[in-house]
Amino acid sequence: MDRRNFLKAGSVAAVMTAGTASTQVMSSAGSKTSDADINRYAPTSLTPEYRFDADNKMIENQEQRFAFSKCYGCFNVCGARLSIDNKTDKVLRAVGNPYTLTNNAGQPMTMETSPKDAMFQLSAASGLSQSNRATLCGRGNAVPDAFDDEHRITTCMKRVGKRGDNKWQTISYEQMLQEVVDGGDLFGEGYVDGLKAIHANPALANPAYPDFGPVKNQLLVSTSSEQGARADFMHRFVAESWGTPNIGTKDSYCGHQQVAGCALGCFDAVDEMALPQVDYEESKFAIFIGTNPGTSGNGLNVGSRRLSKARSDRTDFKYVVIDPILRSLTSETDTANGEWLPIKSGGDTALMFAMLQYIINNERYRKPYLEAPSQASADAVGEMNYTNATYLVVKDKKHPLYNQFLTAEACGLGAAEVKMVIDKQTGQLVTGDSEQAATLFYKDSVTLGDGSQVRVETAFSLLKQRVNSHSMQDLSERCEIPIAKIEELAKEFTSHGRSVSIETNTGCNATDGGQFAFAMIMLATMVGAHNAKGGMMHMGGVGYATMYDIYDGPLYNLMDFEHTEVVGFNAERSGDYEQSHEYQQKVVQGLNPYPANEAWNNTFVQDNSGELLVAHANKNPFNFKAWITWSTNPIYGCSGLQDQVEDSIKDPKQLGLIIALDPYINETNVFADYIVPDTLQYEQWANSRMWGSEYIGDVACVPVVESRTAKTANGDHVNMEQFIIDISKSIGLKGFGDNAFKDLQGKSYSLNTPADFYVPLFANIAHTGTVLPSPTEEDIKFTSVERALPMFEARLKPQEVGPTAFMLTRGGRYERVDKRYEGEFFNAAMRMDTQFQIYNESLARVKDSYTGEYNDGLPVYDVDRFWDGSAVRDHWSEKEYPFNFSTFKLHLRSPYSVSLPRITALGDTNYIQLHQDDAARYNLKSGDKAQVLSPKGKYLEGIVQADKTVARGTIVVGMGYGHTAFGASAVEVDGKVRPGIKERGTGICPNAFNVVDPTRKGASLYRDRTFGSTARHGVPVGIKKV
Amino acid sequence: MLDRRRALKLLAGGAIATTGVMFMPAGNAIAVIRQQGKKRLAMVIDLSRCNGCKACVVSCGMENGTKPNEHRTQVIQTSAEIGDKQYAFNLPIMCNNCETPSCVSVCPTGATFKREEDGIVVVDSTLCIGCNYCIQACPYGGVRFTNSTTGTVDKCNFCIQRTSRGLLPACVETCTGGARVFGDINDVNSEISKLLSQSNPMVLQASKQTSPNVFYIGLTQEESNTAFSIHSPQLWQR
Amino acid sequence: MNEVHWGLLVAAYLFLAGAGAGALFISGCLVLSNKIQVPHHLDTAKISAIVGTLLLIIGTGMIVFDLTSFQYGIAHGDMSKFFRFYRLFMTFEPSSMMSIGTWLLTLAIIFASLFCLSFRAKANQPGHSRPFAMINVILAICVASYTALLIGDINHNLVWSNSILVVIFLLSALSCGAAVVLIVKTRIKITDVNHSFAKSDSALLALELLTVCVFAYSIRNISIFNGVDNLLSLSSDAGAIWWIGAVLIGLIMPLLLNLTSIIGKTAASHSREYLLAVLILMGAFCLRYSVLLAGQYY
Repeated sequence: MDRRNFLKAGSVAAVMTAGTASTQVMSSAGSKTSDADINRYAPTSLTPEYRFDADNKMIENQEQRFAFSKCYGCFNVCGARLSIDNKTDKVLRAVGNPYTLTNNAGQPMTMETSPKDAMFQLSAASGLSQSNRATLCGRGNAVPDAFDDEHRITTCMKRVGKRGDNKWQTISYEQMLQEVVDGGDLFGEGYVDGLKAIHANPALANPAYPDFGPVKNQLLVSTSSEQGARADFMHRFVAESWGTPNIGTKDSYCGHQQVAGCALGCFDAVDEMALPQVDYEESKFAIFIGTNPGTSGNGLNVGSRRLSKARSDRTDFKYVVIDPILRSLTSETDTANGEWLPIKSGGDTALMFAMLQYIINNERYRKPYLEAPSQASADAVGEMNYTNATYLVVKDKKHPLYNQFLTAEACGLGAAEVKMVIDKQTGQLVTGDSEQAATLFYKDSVTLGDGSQVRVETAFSLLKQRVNSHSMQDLSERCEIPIAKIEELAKEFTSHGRSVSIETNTGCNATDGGQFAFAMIMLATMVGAHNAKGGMMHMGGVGYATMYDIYDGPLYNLMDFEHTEVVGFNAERSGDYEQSHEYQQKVVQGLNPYPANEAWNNTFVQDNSGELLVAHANKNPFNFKAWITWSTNPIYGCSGLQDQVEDSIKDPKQLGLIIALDPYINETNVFADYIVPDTLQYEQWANSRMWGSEYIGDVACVPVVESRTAKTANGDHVNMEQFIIDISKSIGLKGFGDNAFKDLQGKSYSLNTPADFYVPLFANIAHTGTVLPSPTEEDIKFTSVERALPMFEARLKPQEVGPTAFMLTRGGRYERVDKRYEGEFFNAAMRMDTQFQIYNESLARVKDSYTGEYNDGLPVYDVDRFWDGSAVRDHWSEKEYPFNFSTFKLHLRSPYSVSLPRITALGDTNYIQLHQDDAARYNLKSGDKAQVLSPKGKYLEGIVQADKTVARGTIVVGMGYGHTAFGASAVEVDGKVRPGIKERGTGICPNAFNVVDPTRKGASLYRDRTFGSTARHGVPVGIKKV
Repeated sequence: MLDRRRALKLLAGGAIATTGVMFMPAGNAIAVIRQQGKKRLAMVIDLSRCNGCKACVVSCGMENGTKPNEHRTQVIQTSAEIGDKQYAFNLPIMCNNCETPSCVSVCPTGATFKREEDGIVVVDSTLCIGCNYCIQACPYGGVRFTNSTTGTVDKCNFCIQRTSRGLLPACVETCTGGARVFGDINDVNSEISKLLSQSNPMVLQASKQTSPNVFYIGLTQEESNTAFSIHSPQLWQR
Repeated sequence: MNEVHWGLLVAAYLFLAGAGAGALFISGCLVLSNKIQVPHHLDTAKISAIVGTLLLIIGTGMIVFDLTSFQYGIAHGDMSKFFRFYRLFMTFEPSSMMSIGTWLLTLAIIFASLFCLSFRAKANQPGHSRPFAMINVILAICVASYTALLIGDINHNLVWSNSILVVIFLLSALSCGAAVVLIVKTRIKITDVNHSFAKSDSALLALELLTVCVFAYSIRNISIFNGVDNLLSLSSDAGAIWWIGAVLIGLIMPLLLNLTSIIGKTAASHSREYLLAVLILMGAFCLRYSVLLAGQYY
């Protein structure tokens, strides 16, 4: 029996028999060892939560319980299985959940497999487990230590002394609620508006900027976008109940420009998302640029395993990791298949252009694919998707369609939505919905419906010119990769049909990060690798919330309440500048509306916590009156931000009220007036997508240990949800308290505790599509779901309890795709069928807020520029700042992992890393102390590591060190000092030091030219020995 | 090859010495083990599947209750130059639970011994006096250490509290790349036996004649002869 | 980087056991040579035996202090760990040099004590002490060599597994014993008029210097062969202690002091003799400490 099929069958009996056959010896021999012996041999080791006896029968440890939960050791969000000590209610150990799509190294267990059987399959007793394990990475394994951390916040705290002094007094939850809602002279520093007064004030926040809305918009909420349903809960409060557009996340300073940039090549839109992954199982050649698969990002557990399998099991898989620094992955055991290719920081787009140039000039692209102008024509030549390569772009400046596609409407041949192409056979102008191949290269005039002539050119012809606008030599010099190597890469990429792929992940963030990603997608488009077997997998990491409307049925409509209206632009100025008051006033006054006074972002809504704080620091459009910051740390995490905004945050006159919701004091919420203790992962209600999963799947959990946080007078634990519920009720916001939502029959339900929200949400997911079955008694007992069952029974209709509980006994819901491929492509569920874009018309309709000129519809290769268009290197010369700066994510470090002692024990410090030849010119060698000098006038002082594993001309510093909070420094609570822990404060953090945009007024951030997201790579820096 | 050896020394901060020049394939070690004919638990570490993620290091600490800075297993990381290219080198190390261990004979109290039934070398914490003689006798630097919670010698015992109860060692269970494979070397049907017969496994410091029960796939001869230590400075933060 | 598991306490143990054995050896020889019929030689033999026995006992104490179970017992007030060393006496493991040494030292201490007592009983009748003297001379040689064999049994250790260490430790033990005896003699104001002591001591030191240099040379070669930095190079801690402490202070300077006395044909002053003895003892300690360190450096 084929192993895969065998597992799929999920038959307990079959597994049991097979397991016993091969491992009889192991179990029976093992039983000789007495517990007393083991206690002597392993006195400090744990006792397993269950064991298998000689007959492979599971014997549970009565002192412990087993449960599924989520892992939040980083933003990937994986599934965890836990052993919990019943007496201490402490999580003893966390490993991966074998049902999820991100933890299981082999084939995820089917939902039909019972949890006990799943555990048996993972055990040594089964003899099956070696190639079928559910793992967690180093961070995930270390997480249980977080719960009893001495620097964890478990009580409500109010600031004593000045903001940032890190001195606190504990107060009751009720006192805190009253103070933040009602305001008053809370700190002896003068009257502060409470949340109630802020929300109730109908006046304009700033009469000079009426388009930025009323006073209630002066509530800033910075959040975590990576907490799944918890984040949705917060958004529901911010957008539908309170109604402020000023909600921030980390995405746009993390690298969202690449997600948006990839989408430029996938959709005729500027605010879409795409972040394709490599199809490891069938890929013949994969390029990883600005990412290190398997050791960070995009699903470490599953990525590590899939890549390991591909490179050791297959001889026909090659991969290249292109990054300024060598990481742990390109291992010396893999010299035949894998390679690390150093690239100068900021040179990524140059490399993409060079490869495109070679591929197009040498006609190594997939011609039939690119020649297909429509789905029908693609179908005719065996392609799954088509592109707009053959579409005609109007190139007459005077024509209203200038830089837009020629439409059938303009030609008198149809609607405006239909674009025009030149038929390949006949050379005639035809509509783009033609079933025939169209001409790739065309540059001439065509006659329109009204008889006029207009110059047009195909998108592909324009692309060819574009990628040839710089010589191969120039491009090679920019990225510091030899021409021969570029050509070799381009050849290899175009030598395996569609089974090639290129993946990035937040590591290419110069000012052209968005353009880089657009060009990167274009490479895959050249060979038609999208949605192809072995090619680009576009549907990774999607959860139920993305694929289904889980907040609206099938059982409960959690959004069914009277929504408030959000009025006005957001303060970060994501929106259409030409709709703004400023623009219109300038036009009325006869002034040139360009440049705008401030940088606008017209492509997509950034929700950038950093830019929102910059707006606050500039008092433009206004200072915020209150700031709720939950589970996020922009001061530490956002490049360049700290010194731009810190003073304005510290000043109670500029910002009246800061409320932090977090389990820890971090570098941002250390400035808070009040800290509300939030739950940590295993204490939470949670439902989340898993980054790196291939199929649709959510990890879901109920609190499996009692929360360490204080309780409210009602006896509920304090956490983010409870606080939001209670302030909303106090202010009188809709959507909380009574009549907070309805079931599909129209019956109203109240929302007073987190369970009131998550239980119906879980029920919705469990009943989406095929309704899940009911679990057995044994399943419920074994997975400790019985502890939560009363909460389900109290809130759901009896018939809904079973399926909902079933989902929890598997730690979530995961869709299964048994047949991965259909012919040469992914199956329909795993494909993102779309028209891939050579020329993004939507982008060509977006104006730059400085020049007022339209963006280009093709990828742009340019030097790094500031908002005003001036070249970065004209401001900061090569002579003074000879290096380009780069940062990267260390695989053991995540936003919260510094509080984990087993993680800090694995590395004392990070380093200033550069090539040994570069170092030698500054008389530096490994172990020396040096300062990296930023044009901002700041420096980073650290230890040099100089070797051959860094690209020349580049200085690299890893992220996750240099903390000042999270217990790194002393904190005073109720007059008692908790000393800082030395290990948490070691190393350097490059963000505070990194540059901002000197051509913007006042506080600013360095920006992506296309998307306005925060940029941080390729930045000029210098170095000197200390 | 010389380059690679030089690169390893350079980056490990001079802490690594190459001792002994004798090369012995793991086959001999396996033969010695198989002669016993009994159940012999062993581990194979396939370096081509190791991504240096250190999940094994952390899970071992959680499972076995060692202090965060005390390690039964560690992943040695550095870079290696092969030709003109740079590669990462990730090497998980731990107690080899040797077939002819040098730690057992030197123990003055009999606290350290090799179990007949499965070949695991254990330290009986109630007999150990902490003379450190076994630590000195072991050629594998740092795999034995004094556990600060017990004041006696500690080391990897293949998670005996799990493996004697039908479960896998913690590090194996959570190895993200699937590099660590565990089982009975004398059970011809076990995955580990198959793996050992298919590939060309090596052991560390074969010249020390201890017949390790931890085998490596993808190790070079020079690396197999190098005396790595768990205490090598952790300079690879990437 | 390897941790130094055996440091000062173990060095002190090796040194004290060596010095004690050396003193007992010389004492025994004096008894056997019948020189003790001369009263001052008897006093010398007697006091040296007592001092030697004490050194042996203190030295053995050092190894107990070094046990991590003992240290843990103190730190955590855990009596079961504090007395855990009794385990050493619950078994005899012939394969373990440590176990052999435990029993050897036990025997040595018992017989050294008996030897001391024998002086008390029938002090003027050498025949009475002779059997004990004989046993002690043999046990002293065993103990002195054993300290080298204990570390020499670590056969993969580049430094310790060198067999010449047995000779070095033996010679060093004897010169330490001589230094102890010298202190005793000086204390009871016996003057070395014929320079007989200085001559024999010089010969011992010269022989030791030779073996020590041969050892250092072999360590240099072994280091080169194994591709590590010279484990006894002056730039390392071990090397510095070795060359400055063991060789310069412990061998060359005492040798010069002795030679100047012999050549100058003047009896050494008491302070000079104390100095000589202290230098030798310091050197002997440094010798063992540096050997221990060097063996744990790579």
